[in-house]
Amino acid sequence: MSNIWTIFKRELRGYFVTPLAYVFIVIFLFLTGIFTFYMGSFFQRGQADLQSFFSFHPWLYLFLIPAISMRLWAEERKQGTIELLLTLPVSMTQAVIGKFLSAWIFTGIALVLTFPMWITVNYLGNPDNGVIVASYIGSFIMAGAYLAIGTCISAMTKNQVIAFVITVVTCLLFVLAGFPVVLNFFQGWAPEYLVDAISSFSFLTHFSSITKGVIDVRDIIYFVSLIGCWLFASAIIVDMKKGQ
Amino acid sequence: MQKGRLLSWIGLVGAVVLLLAINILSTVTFRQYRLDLTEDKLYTLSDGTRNIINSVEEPIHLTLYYSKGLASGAPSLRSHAQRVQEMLEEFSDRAGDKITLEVVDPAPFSEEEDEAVLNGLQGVPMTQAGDNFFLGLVGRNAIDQVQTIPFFDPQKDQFLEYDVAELVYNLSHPERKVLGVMSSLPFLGNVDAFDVLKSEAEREPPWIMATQLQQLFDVRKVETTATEIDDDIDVLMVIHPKDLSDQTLYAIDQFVLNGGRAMVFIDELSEMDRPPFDENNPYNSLWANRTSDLEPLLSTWGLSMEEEVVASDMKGAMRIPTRDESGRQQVVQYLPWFVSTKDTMNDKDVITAGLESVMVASAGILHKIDNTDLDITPLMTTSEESWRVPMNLVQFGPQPQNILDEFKASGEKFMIAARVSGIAKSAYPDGPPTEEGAEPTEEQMQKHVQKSDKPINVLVVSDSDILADDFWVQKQNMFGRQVIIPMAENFSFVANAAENFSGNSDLISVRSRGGFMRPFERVQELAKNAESKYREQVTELESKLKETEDRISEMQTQKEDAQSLVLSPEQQAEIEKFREERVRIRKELRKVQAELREDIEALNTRLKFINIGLIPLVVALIAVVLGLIRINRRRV
Repeated sequence: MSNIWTIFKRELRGYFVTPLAYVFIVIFLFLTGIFTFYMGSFFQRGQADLQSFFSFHPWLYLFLIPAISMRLWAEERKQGTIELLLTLPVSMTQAVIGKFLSAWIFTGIALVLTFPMWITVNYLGNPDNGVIVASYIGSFIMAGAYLAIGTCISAMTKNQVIAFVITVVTCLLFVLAGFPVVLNFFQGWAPEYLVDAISSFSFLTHFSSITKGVIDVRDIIYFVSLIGCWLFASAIIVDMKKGQ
Repeated sequence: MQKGRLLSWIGLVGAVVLLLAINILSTVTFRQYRLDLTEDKLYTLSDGTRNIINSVEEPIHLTLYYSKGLASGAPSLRSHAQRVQEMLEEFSDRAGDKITLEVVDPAPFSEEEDEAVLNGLQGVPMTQAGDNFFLGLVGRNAIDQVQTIPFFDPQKDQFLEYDVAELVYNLSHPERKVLGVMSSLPFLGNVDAFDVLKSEAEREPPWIMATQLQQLFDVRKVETTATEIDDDIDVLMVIHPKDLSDQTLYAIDQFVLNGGRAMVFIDELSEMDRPPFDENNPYNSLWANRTSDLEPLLSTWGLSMEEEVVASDMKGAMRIPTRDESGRQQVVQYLPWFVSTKDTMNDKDVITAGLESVMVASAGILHKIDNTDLDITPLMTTSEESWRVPMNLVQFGPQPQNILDEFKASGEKFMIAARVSGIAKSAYPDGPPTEEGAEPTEEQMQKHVQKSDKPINVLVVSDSDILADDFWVQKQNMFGRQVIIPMAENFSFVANAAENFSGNSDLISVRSRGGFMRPFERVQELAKNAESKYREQVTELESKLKETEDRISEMQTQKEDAQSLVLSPEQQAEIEKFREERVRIRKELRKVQAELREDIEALNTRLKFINIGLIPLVVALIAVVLGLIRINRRRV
């Protein structure tokens, strides 16, 4: 546990000594604002909720999170610092978890900085704040799932660009699985249970049900098991690559 | 080495299998575990519903007809349908084997579709081919009685639980409910078994409202002289209670305190209360008292009605034909007769939610008494463009012009109908009323209820004309058959109330869960302020514009009158002048309209700046400052 904590602290501090963290946060905040106000017509809808804010999160994460996750392992490997890390008295799993947690908390910080949106809706009307709390929790845990996928893919390669592209594509599959167009494509020929299974593995399905204001154990299990599975895979892959 | 790799691969494959297994298992197992964070607990069954489910004794079979295939193209409909299905599953999960649920997908042109239609479900055309989308419920109890919900309307989402709970309740309590009617007006007509000798002219048929209620309830007459209300009456309807004796009032008081539900229609001026015309004294009928108030019960229920005034409303006022001073026929607004619309009805109460128009005629004005402990929920009000009409302007027949002349908007929303609930006390604290001087007997005192055990349920409406045919239906003769065309939803209002009240208290407690609509109140306020500020300006400009246009057309007709093809130069110049004037006024109007939006647009821009620009800027600044500090430190 204390090993995880040490790695977590070291990594998180690492974010803030480079301009990268600030650039990421600025871009994230700027884009959420633009999406909410212009594409989501937040003001024109006239409804005191944050639907037009949260509905773009899966798409924003799709491109922003791989940008964080791509360097998690690929950079270490490229610069050779991975050897150093592996000589330390920490297990692979601890290293994976520590790095993942620091990236996750970092995205959490970016998410928290969107609080002016929350103040804005409360200023304009009388929103259901319970729904907003649930949505924030949902968004955060979904970000964790994106990161876990990114962690694993970053562990596979030395090249950050390749890690980025593959992560985007993989995450896109998880997003699109719940998209009507994709489901329609399957509906033509695949049996219904398969269609349902595909749609039940989509980020969109689970995230949208949380943003209604209900935190269902099934949605939490989905995201947590997904994170667990990808992290476990990351640990194995880092371990496998160690010998190479 | 090789062995390690193999193990790793097995681990990876195992992880994926485990992931799939966990999720497939959790979808089935953890259906009921969720944390409802919504303010109104939109996704949690209320206690009332749970009690209803627990009290089901004979098995009920529910069939949900849901065209799943057709819904796939519309995600919002799909999620609504999913919510419906999950709600029903929750009902059946909670009830054990007492409620079974079956989900049927009625594909187009299938047997199931025919079945759905046969059971009265409503299909909504979805595709260009005209395939019908179904999302409705058919419930069957052990004795094969059927209740349906023809279509789960996404707009009525907040009543989903109530609708299903009502269906379940009705199926588990199949006996017809008894509706007692105590009326000083001929609501039930005046024909009964003993009236065979009455001539055709003397016979009065029951009001249409009564006939329609008879289809839903076992309607029973209660005399206005009754000294006791039967226990088996579920809902008592009291209509225009005039000159009731203390004994009768006491009976109503005790009926309500003992858990009976009452719907009371009092009136400041009953349009249907027409005293017989007396040849010897023709003014007598004009001066006759047409008021009813049900005191002292009304004040113990926490309400009072203003005396000698009736409510009027400019917004929904009826237009009626009348004659002006010169005897010309014209149609004018008669303000005391108005339609209560969506805006003036409580959309959170199951009685009035979804209603669009209820016609009201010369209603009294209700007030909540200041120090009452009872819950008074207003169900229907006037708009803010209302005025207290003094009795002398309505008593002797409609005087629309006089009322219009004196009208001055009060800015108040007068209460017309209210739901009363809570623990109530008797209006007769000293026991049953008796003959002068006599003491109530011991037996009477023993039966006397001083305070209700459970919350009472009373609906008070300050208008009895709401029930009268004249104000809500049109009767037409078609090939010798009378056809009834409703003009307003007065029947739905009364029937909703009667159905809500005839359910048990659990069902009554299942109210709406608050709407999903949460508007930007601040923006609405801005719009309202701006509008009132500019309205005067706009009316002025508009009348000016009208004047100018009239002048132009007048001049053009003048030309035709003169039979000349050419306008004189003066005329031409004049017209040109007016045209310019019109362009100028139009421009000004547009400017005023633009100004109307100005404040709101300014707010929008400000919020955009804060959310899109300001915070990223602050973060960037912090980054720069921290960076500089770091560089400095390094130099040192």
